[in-house]
Amino acid sequence: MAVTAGSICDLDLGGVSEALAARRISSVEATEAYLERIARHDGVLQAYITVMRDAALSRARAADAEQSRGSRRGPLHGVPLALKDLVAVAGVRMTGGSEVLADHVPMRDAFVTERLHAAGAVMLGKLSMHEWAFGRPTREGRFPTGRNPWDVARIPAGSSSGSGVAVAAGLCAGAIGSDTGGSIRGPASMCGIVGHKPTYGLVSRGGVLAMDWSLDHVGPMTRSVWDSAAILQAIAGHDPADPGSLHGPVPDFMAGLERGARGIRLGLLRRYYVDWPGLDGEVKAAALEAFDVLAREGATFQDVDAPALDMAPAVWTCFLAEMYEYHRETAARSPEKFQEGTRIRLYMGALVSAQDFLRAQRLRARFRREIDGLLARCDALIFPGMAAPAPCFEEVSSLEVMTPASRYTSPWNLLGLPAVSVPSGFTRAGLPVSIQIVGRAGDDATVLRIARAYERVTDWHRRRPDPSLWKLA
Amino acid sequence: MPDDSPARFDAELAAAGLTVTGRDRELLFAMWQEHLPQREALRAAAPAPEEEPWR
Repeated sequence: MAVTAGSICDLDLGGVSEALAARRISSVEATEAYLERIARHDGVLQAYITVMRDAALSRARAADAEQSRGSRRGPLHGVPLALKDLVAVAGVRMTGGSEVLADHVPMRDAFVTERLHAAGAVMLGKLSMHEWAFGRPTREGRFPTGRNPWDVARIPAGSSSGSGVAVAAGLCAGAIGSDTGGSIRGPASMCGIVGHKPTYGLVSRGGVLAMDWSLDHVGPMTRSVWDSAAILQAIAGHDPADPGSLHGPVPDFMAGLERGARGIRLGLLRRYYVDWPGLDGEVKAAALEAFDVLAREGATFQDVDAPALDMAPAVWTCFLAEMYEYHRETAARSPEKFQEGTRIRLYMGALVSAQDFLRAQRLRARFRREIDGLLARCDALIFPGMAAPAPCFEEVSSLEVMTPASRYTSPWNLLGLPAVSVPSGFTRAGLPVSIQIVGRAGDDATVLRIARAYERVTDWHRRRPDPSLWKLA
Repeated sequence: MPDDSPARFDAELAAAGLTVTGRDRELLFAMWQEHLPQREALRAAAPAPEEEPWR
């Protein structure tokens, strides 16, 4: 297939990688194509906080030179990626989307950045996000959070908003996001891409700004499941600098991707998710159709339930205490530097008593016991990815502790289980929707395999938003 | 029954050592009040003795 600088941005990461490996395009040409597209469209889409033009071209030249010497490091070699602006790159401003860090320049790369550089990837820049990963969407101010490429009047969800926008709009070939209550899976769902929250500790938080130490996960956001597996393979691994980092060998996430769904046992969390009255009708219909697709591919389904799910959002909100603990000195010293909604939620964290926090931890243990029981008889759990497609900016409140719809994502941060959001269709208004698959701790490979089994017989992930609509009214 | 939530809110602020005034205080009270049912449900959940905190 002929690949031109003009068409490279329509490809998924696998396509870019293949074109680079076959020398149909150079890394410099690919990088320039993305930079040109960013320059043309990011004024509207607002996906980037910092574009690392010179550094990106320098790394692209090095990648090309290395390949010309006959050495190719792997599937990410020369591939242009981007990072949520809470992942450190040495010498590059890292803001966390906040005035608090507006001029902060880290001295060292995050573990994830080191790994991506070691894999030969090219970093295009730092992506917009909700303030400190718990603010709310905004189009105004110094740190706008990005517009949804499927409808620029709508939010892309967050907090990894820029990551979702940049991947969906072809402003990078893949991105890194972080997820504390749904911040990878939400934007993935609303931007029509794949988002994978890995098992807790599989990917280091070293050099990544914290939101809630015990709930934070770093992971890939991409156009396809293969792309996510390729990035995960590069960034997974033990980091002594992260106290929660897992030890032991990193599994092969690519090897079993094409094994299909035959023999897979899926537990459908029907009561809590499918039958929830707040679930949008079109999202529900698309999810039920997706489950049928997987059944036709050989997966078996059983309805399952975990009563402790009902308490999970309340349990999650007690972890605002971790957030407050992280920010308490800054909040006391310079409260005006936080956006209003962020500041009020921080204060909510101060009001979580020790007793409430311990009660939450006991209920978290109950939830884990129930889910462990389900995953002893199912290979994975499945349900709609989010409650609804992307809303308009005006429909989002900045003064909620958490949205009711976060029930679809936040429980799975409490348990640290691998969870992937996969595109499963579009609404009549042309907005993407998704399904979500949650697996056993450490079994990211099975979650990705199931997602790929669905993806390979559907074409939702191949659809692209129309750049001619990226205009402001 | 009289609404005791303002007094409870004041008590929680004091216990947390938090000084919040003006519009921030109004917004925090509104958020706190909205979240109260969840907090009450959490407190009423009564874990079994063997349900130890997550480690």
